[in-house]
Amino acid sequence: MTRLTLVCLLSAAAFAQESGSITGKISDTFREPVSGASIQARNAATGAMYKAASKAPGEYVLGGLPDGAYELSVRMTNMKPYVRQGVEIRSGQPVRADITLQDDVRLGTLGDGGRFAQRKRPPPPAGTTPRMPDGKPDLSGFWASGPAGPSDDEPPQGLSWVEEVVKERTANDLRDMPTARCLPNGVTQQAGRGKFVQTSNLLVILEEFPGDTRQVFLDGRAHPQGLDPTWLGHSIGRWDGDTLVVDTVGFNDKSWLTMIRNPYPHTEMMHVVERYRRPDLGHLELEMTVEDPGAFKKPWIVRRTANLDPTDEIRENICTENEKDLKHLPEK
Amino acid sequence: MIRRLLFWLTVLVAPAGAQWLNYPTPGIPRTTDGKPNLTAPAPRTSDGRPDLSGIWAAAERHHQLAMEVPGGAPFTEWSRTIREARLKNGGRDIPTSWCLPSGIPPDMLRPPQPFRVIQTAGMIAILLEEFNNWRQIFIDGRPLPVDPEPAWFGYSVGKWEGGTLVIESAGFNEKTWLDGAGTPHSDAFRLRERFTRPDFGHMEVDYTFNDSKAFTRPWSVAVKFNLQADTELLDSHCENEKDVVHFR
Repeated sequence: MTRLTLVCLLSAAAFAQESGSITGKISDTFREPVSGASIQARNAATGAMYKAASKAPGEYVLGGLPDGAYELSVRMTNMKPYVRQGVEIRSGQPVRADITLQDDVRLGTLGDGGRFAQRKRPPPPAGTTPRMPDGKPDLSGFWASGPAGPSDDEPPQGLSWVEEVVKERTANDLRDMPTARCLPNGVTQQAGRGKFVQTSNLLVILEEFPGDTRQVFLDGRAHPQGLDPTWLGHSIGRWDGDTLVVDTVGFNDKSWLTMIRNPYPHTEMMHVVERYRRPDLGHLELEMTVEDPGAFKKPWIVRRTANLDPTDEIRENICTENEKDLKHLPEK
Repeated sequence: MIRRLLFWLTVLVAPAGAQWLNYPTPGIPRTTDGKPNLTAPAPRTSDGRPDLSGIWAAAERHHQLAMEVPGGAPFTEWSRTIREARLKNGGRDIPTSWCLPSGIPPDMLRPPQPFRVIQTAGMIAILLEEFNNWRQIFIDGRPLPVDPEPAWFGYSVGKWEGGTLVIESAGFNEKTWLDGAGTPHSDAFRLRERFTRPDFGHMEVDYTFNDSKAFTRPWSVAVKFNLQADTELLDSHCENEKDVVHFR
């Protein structure tokens, strides 16, 4: 224990009635906010515990802390535990502790850490929203930048069977994620990114990894009855002012909500509504609502933003080139 | 041997039947009895170019594409040897048996497996039903890259010559077969595709194969395609190399 800490501890005893706070922001290594992390402060002298959770956008507040030295720790699914000793509260003064969490996904392969190699991308270009001949926004472009994994605000609230599956997948280092076998990301993971190609009656989204195509029909058709369940389901879109509302049903139950942050299962009842806006040339905003009464207690609502990168193009990535990573994945 | 090959090709591309959607394609010309009018004029874009957009499938199979030129394609010793070895073992190493792409052009030449062309001003996307793969063709005036990264679908740029879209592709890896009979190509392979749409229901593509390692001179084949009206592409993600075990 340092001399300073000792002094502080002594002063804590003298002013025990003082009450302070620790506040801060939890981020990941891509400087994306992390919500839903458990933060805990343990008073070194008394052993008293104080708990909080980070809320969007990653902010947390631990209040009512008597003066003293604290062990500050943070836990979050699929992130390495964080511990810092000797955080001091003195004279009830608030303390700020911003914390960066490291990924804790061991793929045992190149770029070990669960995030894939990131290309530095330029800032998005300035300009007005491009429009189609009929005046509707044109969402076409390569929406690529931002974090490899979406920074989704709140984790879903799964039914108990769903939470059990999440625990199992997490304990198993996510080794059964569909992309490990070159199977699709799924709509909920991929939404808001990719190469968008829009015509008056069809929006096509080309995906780089694993190479995939998605069609959103804009010609006014309804969902067919008795759809066979598929990886990407059946998507129809309509315009609500300048917002494109994409409605998708007909999913199989094989995809994961997201691959790393939210490795939740879902059922064939899943219903996804994506609301896309292009407020200017360089940004694509998405609000996505995921409903599934077979898996979640309430709808999961996610907001994502992607930047246009006019300097790059989507690349070919034929994942099925022999499932090269699969044999490297550890199994518990 | 060829029959065996055809059998496996059929197994590999067979879609889930019940998934097929019989959806009337909106906005297409129809005859008085409601059937698609396939001989109506070809649609045009606002700048007067032919619009190739639509779902297409080759009018017939082309498993022996290289034998459709009189006397057969001008194979070199290298390509002849590889092709004969592939024919001899029943084509068991065809890329699709590992869920890998057929490549260009065979993934567009396997009816009834369709593909979808989406034409915009600066680029054309082709959605292949086979494994949900895609091609993109830049028609924004850019040249072919000097030394593109070798890829299954290569790198494609196109330009209009009157009513014909001329697509040049290079930068292929050596892994795809040019036809179901195992005709190989090298990484020097360059492909020229000349697309025309003479009327609403028909498209023609003239393919020219140029590869000095595989062929003693360039050779060309013309292929006819029919519009697939009142249907849709299927989800055909290739799950876990299910077929490859049957080859042992």
